[in-house]
Amino acid sequence: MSAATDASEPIAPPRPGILSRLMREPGAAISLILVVLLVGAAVFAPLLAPTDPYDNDLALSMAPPGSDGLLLGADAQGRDMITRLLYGLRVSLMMGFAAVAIGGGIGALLGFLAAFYRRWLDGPIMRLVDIMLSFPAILVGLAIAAIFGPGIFSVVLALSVATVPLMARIVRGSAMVVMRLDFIEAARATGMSDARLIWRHLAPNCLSAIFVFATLRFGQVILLGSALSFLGLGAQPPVPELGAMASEGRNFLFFAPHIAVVPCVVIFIVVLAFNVLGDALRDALDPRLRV
Amino acid sequence: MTDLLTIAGLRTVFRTHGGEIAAVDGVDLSVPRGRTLGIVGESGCGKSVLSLSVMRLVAHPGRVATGSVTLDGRDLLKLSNADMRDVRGSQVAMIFQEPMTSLNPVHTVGFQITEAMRAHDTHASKAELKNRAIEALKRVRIPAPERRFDEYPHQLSGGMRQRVMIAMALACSPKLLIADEPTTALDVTVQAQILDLLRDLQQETGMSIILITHDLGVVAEMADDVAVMYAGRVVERGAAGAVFADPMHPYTLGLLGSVPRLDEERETLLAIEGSVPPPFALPKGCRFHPRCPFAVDACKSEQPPLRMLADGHQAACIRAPVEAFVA
Repeated sequence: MSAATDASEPIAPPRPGILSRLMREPGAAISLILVVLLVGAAVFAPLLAPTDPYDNDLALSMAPPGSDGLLLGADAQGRDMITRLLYGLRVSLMMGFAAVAIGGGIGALLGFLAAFYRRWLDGPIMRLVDIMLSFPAILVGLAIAAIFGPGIFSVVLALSVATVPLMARIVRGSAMVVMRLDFIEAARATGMSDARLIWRHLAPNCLSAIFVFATLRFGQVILLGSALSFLGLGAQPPVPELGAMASEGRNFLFFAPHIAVVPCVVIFIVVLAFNVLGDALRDALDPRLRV
Repeated sequence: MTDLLTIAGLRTVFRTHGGEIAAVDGVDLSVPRGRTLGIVGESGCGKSVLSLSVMRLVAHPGRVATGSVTLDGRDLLKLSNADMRDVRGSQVAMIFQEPMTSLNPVHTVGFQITEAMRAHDTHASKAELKNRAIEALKRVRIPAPERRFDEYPHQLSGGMRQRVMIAMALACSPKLLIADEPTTALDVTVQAQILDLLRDLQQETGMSIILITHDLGVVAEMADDVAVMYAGRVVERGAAGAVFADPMHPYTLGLLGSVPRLDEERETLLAIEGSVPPPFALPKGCRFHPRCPFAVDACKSEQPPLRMLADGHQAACIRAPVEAFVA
């Protein structure tokens, strides 16, 4: 550092925030706007939806997009597709959020413990993670649905279980690096307890890794959850859910393709938006790229 | 005056594939109350491991094998983990070499100081802690402490960060401060400021300081007593004045000969031939004999103990004092 005397040292200007760094990249900006729009649409679905998601009018059954004032048409039961999509998005995003929060939370905790008590817990925790990783998520979903019955709860549980080992690995790797930094030892030398060290010093320094992975994982989890629902393990009719809607539309693929295609396109947009946002976040948060 | 800290027969070993190796091998030292002990030696001589042993912060695969570290009549090595945690920060505190990395980049300076206080005072209110932290920043002569309280480490210079580290270390008024190369990473002018600060704080609080460094100038300026370490052992110890004026161990002599001085005319600086032997390949007998210009056959067979050669001045050399041979 410079030899400037301490008293006259200027106060550094604040660095540009994450948001402004994100908005500089067109891809990142678009994905961020998309994510905000999607989440907003899901949150305000009851206000935005033109009809009730369970209101059916068999006269409108399989109405093609654009007919009778239905922008995206109606499904086999004659329910407005826009309404169904908005509510379906709500259910799908909530399932994804719950799975990432629960599975990611437990995974992060395991990762912290493995890195902090490296000597005692790293081996056992990482072997457990290896075992969990060796089960395909769909298989876990099938097993859980067999035990608890198909439904949203089972899907969230299966997705959480599938997220735990991935998050544990990512966090452990990031925490191992932080554990080698001097301030951990310096904080220990002040007599801080282990729990406080983990919470106050280890965890905040792993936050960017957690955040990036959670965002990326969110997209994957939505896709997985939709797949489970498509297989009939998740949301049960008449609950609107994107994967379940695609599954219902499968039977009418030749007469009314929009019933299956529209939810699939929405799934595609959701997953793509979260993946691009996750990548952009990684670039924005990567300390090596910081100016 | 009684000693605050007494280290006796301390041996810290690291388990490796080739068996256990001792980074600190049978060290005896004492630190009187309110005084400064300087520990000098080259890189890898075990001085940092020694200080971590006192704090019981030696990381696996290292461990303190034998010996005692008595602080105020209590053997720290026999305390439970919880009791030891209580001692850290409140009785013995430590500052480290790298002020740039010893502070957590994600927290404000104020938060980190209050955290250090909270570790030992769980029921102080937030406002009270903040006042005390600002007081602590003021004590280490940080200008505009109220403003600095809310700043992040990256907004501070190296010298300022080291001041913050000192404020953190002294937050709970420890009796002993271990400073491990506190000025090595700093500019020379800032070094002097930090040393002045440490000296002033010692006078205010009456704490003892263990100053670990490879910089003989720093020791000469700060220390009351000096211990010279070589390959995990203390080879010479005594009052700072005596050791510098009248070095008895050939290694100390070599160290002093390798420092440029203004008051003497010297064509070239003396270098000690060779380098510190790694702890897994220590020579038999005196560990310094392969590099020692005064070595005789007897040096190769037995390890010399510390011998009292003058009042309070000890050296571990069978040929000491060696000035007689320097002609």
